Amino acid sequence: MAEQSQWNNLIEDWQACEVAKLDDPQSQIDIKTLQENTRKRAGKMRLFMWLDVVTTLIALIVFGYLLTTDINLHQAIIFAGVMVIIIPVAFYSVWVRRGLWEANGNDTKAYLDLAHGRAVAGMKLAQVNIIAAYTAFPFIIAVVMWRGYVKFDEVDWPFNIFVFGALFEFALMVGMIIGARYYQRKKRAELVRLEKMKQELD
Amino acid sequence: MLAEAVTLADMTSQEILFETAIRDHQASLSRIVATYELDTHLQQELHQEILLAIWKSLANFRGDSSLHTFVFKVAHNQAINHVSRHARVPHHESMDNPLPSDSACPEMSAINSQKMQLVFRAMHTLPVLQRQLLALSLEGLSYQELSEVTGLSESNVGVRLNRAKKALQEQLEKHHG
Repeated sequence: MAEQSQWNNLIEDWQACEVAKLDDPQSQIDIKTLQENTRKRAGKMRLFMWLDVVTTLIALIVFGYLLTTDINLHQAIIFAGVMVIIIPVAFYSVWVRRGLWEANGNDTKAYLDLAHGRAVAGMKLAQVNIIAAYTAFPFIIAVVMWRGYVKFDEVDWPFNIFVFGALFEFALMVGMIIGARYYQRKKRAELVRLEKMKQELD
Repeated sequence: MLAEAVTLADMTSQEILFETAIRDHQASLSRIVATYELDTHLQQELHQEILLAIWKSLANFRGDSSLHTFVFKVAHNQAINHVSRHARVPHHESMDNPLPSDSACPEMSAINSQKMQLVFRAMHTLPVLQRQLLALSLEGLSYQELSEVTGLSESNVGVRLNRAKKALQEQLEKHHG
């Protein structure tokens, strides 16, 4: 009885409690700002999706063009090799995120499952990107250097476009791997927290 | 601030619902934010994230649940999302740790009553889902509404809420010495 009355008092105090900084009208945002933010976020998501599609398409078109000409056998080999990696990665990234687009779960349990699924998908995608980087870039570097080696007599070693190209690709590979590893670490930490919360609910 | 100059006729149903939801739940939302986040800057961030999530979700609001339950559902989901993403911030303190002192927690000065500052600090020592149940129950949600928000059965809600109340009581007693 005493406990119930204590709890009822706490409810009254709680509902009378104000968090000054957040109740401040200045911390509210108007509908126009909300619409603008929503539009920006949706635009960003659309941009990334289209970037994915457009870069794959451009790569495909360039590869197709190279196949119909005899400009450069090495470039054709690079594009062919990279396409073998890019296309499955693009398909995998769509497949792994299937069913994870809803804005909110129906309840906390459903939402935790959804957030958990998103974190797992994020980690898988990062891992695939790391594998793709370890596969594609050494392949590109090898072909670029092979091309340079073939033209050994004509170029001024070591300061030539082939060495520059190989170094550039190497830097891209390192950047991509560091980025994916960082993202993976972030997602792993998120996953640990989500699993803890899921356990609390089970 | 919601644009007061906008007349009702000019507003879409989503805008009307949003205005109603925020007007009726402004204080509750602030308390929910304080339940999940102690850091002032992160509180502001979470508050904006919740408003944005409510706005976006209202586009799909079909009236299957009350607006009241709907707002709490979205707010708590967003808060959970926030807690899981901010890896540097511990998601709850150990139950064995003493409550932080006033000087260690200046953010609490935004809460208008000393007693409530203590309650919020005690709540931060509890696991996230105990905090959620306590906060929702203190906002006046029934077992049925709690069940709707959390996805737990009503009997399970009862058991867990009692456990959470006891844990809160223990923390408050520990602080009083």
